[in-house]
Amino acid sequence: MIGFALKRILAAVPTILLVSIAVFLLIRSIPGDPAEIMLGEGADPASLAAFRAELGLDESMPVQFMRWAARVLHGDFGQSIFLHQPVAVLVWDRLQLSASIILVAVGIAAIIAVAAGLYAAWRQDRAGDIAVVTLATLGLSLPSFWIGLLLLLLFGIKLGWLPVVGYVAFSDDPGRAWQYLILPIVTLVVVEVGVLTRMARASAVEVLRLEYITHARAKGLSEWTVLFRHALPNAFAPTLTMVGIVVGSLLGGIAVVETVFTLPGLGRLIVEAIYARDYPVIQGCLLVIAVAYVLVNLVVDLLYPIFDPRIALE
Amino acid sequence: MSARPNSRSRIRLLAGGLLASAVLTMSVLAIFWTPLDPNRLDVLHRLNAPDVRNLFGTDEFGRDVLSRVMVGATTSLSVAMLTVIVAIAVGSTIGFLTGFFRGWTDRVVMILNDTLLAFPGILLALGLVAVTGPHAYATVLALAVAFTPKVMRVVRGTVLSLREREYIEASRAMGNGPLYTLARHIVPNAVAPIAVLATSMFGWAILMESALSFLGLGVPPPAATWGNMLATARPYLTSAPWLSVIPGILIATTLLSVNLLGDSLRDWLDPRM
Repeated sequence: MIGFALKRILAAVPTILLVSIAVFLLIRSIPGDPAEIMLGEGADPASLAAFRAELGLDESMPVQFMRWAARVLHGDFGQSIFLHQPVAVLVWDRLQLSASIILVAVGIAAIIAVAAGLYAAWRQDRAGDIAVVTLATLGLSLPSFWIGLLLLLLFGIKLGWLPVVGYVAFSDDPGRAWQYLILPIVTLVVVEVGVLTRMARASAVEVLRLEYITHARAKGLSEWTVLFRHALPNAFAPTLTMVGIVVGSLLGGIAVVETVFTLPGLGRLIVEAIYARDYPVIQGCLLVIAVAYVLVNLVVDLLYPIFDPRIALE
Repeated sequence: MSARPNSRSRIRLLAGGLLASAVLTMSVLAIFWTPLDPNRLDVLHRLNAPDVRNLFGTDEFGRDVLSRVMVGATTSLSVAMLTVIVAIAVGSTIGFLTGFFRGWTDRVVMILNDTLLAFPGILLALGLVAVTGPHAYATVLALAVAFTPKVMRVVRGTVLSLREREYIEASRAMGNGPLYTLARHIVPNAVAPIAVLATSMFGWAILMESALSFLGLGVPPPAATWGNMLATARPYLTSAPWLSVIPGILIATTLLSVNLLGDSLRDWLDPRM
């Protein structure tokens, strides 16, 4: 078990290294002088010259990468050209908002999905199953930004229950902050619950066919015990992997939801940085999101054996 | 009990097929004809609610929304189609060759591929658009780069499992060259998983193109796409809600049809599921 965990953790190191090289090369592939790209067109010649020396532009690419990586490891992601703040501070601030929305939404979606998936598998091919599958397929087909707009239209404008524009930080006023966060969270739940439910149902169907379930029923255990104590843990493992994938795709995809609800999150930051050609910020966001994605998958891999111990024995 | 999944599958195929042909017809029709000129400004008819003249109303410039969602269908479907073709062509070529011949090229390509897969797809697309700038072809490129590693992995995996089969050994023993064996015996057997993947990717491409366009980083205006129509609709949510409702219905309909067709395809090709 510990050997398995160590192996997975060590395997993530080269991935993170390669991901950083990819981000570095992507930003370097922008035509023009890298120093000017990173400091903005209005930078004065003296600081440009100093920054060129810091980047080591006369040295080979691997050396330049090492210098950059060394700065990143010290928490220096550079300075935003337009917001005049350290990129590390900006990204950290915005990440907290996006990450909390994503984690709460995916948590709720996963609970609903596992319950619905298990129920559907139990009622396989009956009315309840058909209803769950139909709803899940519908949910799978709804773009998040459209659901967001419709929810705003209904709860913000028609009913006037919730604010339509703006944001209050959770640290300033938790009570009011929730009013701004409910709709984005509901949007993400609606959009992601479909794919998770389908996954949960498919794995529950597989599990309910197995002999140990028949055996448990033959022992006279109640359906409730069979479903929740015997089927659920095994059926949950593949869904957990899907949860990791969903969290990762949301780290990138949350930009559209933050745009609809005018939330100052990480997704919004990267999109605005792309508009403004604020390359230090783009680079920082790409790196942080990609590394976060690798780490989320790592956590999922480490949790997996808890639900399916066979994995760790391989 | 056994008749039911069949009839469900048939209903899915029928519903998916009907919805898909409706969207497809609309997009092909829009190449030749739209009720009104989709780009003609008409300040006198700004933000008109749906009526006989403009079935889906007009936008903030008085342009006919029906005509715009029709040409938007052409744009979105072509971008998605092109993306899938490029990703499948590049990804399966690499996947077939590296999976079949193995060696150090395979190892290097796999490392590069895993690096690309370590990025969430939409993030990779955003990063590429940051370098290229928003453009219809940049969208195709960005999405194709995001999808190709997935194709490569699926194709390579399929090839790896196929190449150990006895009939492949038999083909070699008969003196067939490796390329002949690959083309004659491996490629045909990999078509099914590729077809299933292509269908889901078409749906992802529609969704991601509309998301990028919604963010102002996909197909730029004045060209109409469903995504950029929704982006400009946000300020008129109160005064002109149809601007937010109609393009979304079309995206959702298209995605639903793709998902239904994808499910039927999977049922048909892999009855175990």
